[in-house]
Amino acid sequence: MSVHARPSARGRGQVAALLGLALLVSGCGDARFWARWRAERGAWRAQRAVERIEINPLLAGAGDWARADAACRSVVTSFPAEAWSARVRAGDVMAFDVLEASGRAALSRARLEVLHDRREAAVAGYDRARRDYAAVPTVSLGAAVARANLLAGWGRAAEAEAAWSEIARDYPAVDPRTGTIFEAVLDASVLVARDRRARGDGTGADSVLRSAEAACLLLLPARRGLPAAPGLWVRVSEARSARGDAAGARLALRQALAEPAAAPLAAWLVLRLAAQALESALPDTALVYADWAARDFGGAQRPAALLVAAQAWRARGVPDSALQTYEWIVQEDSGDLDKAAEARFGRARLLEDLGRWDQARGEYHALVSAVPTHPLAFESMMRVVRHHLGRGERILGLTEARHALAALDALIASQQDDGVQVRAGETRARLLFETEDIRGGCGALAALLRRYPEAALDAGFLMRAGEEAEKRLNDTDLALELYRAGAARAVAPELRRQARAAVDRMAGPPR
Amino acid sequence: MKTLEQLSLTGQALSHTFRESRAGRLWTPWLVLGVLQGAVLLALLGFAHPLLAWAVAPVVRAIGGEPALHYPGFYRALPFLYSRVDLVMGAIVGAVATGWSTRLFAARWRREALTAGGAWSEIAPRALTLVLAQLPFQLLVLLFTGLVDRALAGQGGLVQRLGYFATLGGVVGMQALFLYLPALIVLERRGLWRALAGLPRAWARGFWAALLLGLVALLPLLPLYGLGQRSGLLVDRGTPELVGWVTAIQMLVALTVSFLLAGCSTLVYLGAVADQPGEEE
Repeated sequence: MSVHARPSARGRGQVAALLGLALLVSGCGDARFWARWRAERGAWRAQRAVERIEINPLLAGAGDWARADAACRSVVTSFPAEAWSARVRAGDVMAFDVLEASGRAALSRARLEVLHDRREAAVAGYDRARRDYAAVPTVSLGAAVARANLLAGWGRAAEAEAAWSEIARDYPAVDPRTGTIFEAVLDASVLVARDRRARGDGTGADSVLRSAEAACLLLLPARRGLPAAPGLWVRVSEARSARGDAAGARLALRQALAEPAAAPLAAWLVLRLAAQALESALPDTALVYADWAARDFGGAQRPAALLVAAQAWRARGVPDSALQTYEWIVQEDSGDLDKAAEARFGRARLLEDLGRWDQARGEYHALVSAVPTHPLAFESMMRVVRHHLGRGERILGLTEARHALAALDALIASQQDDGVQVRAGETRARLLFETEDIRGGCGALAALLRRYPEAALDAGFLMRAGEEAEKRLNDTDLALELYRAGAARAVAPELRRQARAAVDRMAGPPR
Repeated sequence: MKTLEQLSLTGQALSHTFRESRAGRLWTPWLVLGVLQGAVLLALLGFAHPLLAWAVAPVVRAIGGEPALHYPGFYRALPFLYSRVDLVMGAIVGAVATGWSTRLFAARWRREALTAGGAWSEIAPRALTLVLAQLPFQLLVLLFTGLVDRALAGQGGLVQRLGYFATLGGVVGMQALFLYLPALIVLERRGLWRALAGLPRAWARGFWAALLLGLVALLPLLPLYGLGQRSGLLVDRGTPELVGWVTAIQMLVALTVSFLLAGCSTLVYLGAVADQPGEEE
């Protein structure tokens, strides 16, 4: 190349300027893609780090906790909610994705506090996420729901109810961006109504349910024929059912069934119609729907449908047909152990009510042999013992109790499942109480509580055991332990009040 | 040449090509292609960076759709994205690299002294012919796989599996039909139409060898393609970036296979397909 052919400094400058202009025009230097990529990557990694701890928090080391916390914190601080919310408000579409990723990291961080069992920090974290990411309804609503669930789970019922009320009041039922229905917003009303009814505020509960129903009915016209429609009708049905409007509830279910998108739900809807008809004392209608569900929707739905049919026959006063239907469920051996256990138990109860005790006892024993770890098997043991003791057949009762205790001991020794251990341990304690072995029963419960401090035991039973320990054994420490366990588990306000009063009485004035 | 002789020659060609794979000069065309493919893969992996986004992000969106622009959705789409971009690169740069490699291998097998640069200056004027001659093969593969994919859409289980093997068989068969084209263009110095017209003679003399070579070349690629198809699983298991590494390894293995295929096909061509002294077309 000759000297003259080389570009001059001016020429090079012009080329550089042109290149720069071309890049500027074509969007080079636009960092929004990069910001979104980094935010999404950070949020995803943070979420994975928290999920790894979630598998078993007890096995997570200090390093795992620190890494997960740092991963969450890094995203939240690198992409602050305030700054990115301002960009979203300015109409920047990509900023919305960044804000959503940042919000997900904030939720992961609050979840980390839950796993750490730092309750107040977790509630505060969700509350902060709810407020800071208000521009992203999925994140904000997710935070609000997680907060309400936490409060409910920790027994802070009043705060939980307030949280659910806020959700029902503050959030739209439909995502304004995607048109997706926010199920949690519709659920919130039902939960608020349930809490109000439990508090004895029936009028308030009905009012909330009416607004929930109205909200669903408002959404429905625009969603006729769409996949969301059957679900909305089911919610209408649930709201009406909770208000005691059984006919309205069934009508809503029939509307759901008539929707073009109802096919995946059809079997469940027909079965639900059968169950609701039975609850409304319409056994003939229940039989028609149960027959339809058992016949037309394949094997999976059949045992449940036959179970409703058996109950309907019983309600109609045709016990032989009911017994025959229960027998079909057991004999068809569908593999649904729950339904087979329910059928055996239902058959035994019916035989017992018909005065055919020998056959009933045979069914109870068959149930205990067939599915020994099923809750109804434990219930069967109790019923057999109670039946004999109740009729004054003490020796027979004690013999049955001895057999049952031996079977429970064998189960406790051989089963590793914590749930089975707890249920078997509780049944063992109940049997000891039934046979007047109060010390044995209280001791068994206390041992169970020491081994499984979080076990979901019956609060009423714990209260009764506490009273026995206090009054008949005069064992204050044992009684206090049982009352405390009862107080921690009581859901009904009256029982909780009684349990707390008992704990206060036993613990005495603070020293 | 009888079928058995062709298969025996294929075995020898593989053995000789393996032995010659230590000669760095023979790798030059594939090195150039590898550098280009590596650059493309890196550009795809860094598509979100401000320096690249303006150019690469539209390509990613056009091929993979909006989800491919997000993390970790991009990694789910990466094998498909790369395969589509590589298809274009293979049709242009790959076709020229195959011709260049054929010339270098021919010199090696004939014991001629020829540098990589010398081979390049010989085949450079025929670059366009090489690209155009390979185009029907690329288009046929694209059409065939597209049709099979459409036919299998919504099918599952055994049908899907059979369809997968039918696709592989079809591609190997088509590759066998076009395998000797670069040799016809580069070594016999034929133009586009004369090269295509020379194919029936090549099939008559070396089709079974080409088919066996295609099958052998497919073997090392199968597990990597399988892994690439499960990119969603790699992402869901928490290691999206691993898909990038799998794609890079797939690229390197494909280059090595192309190297072996070029060496073997040239040797089979010289031994069985080309007119021997005294023979006439």
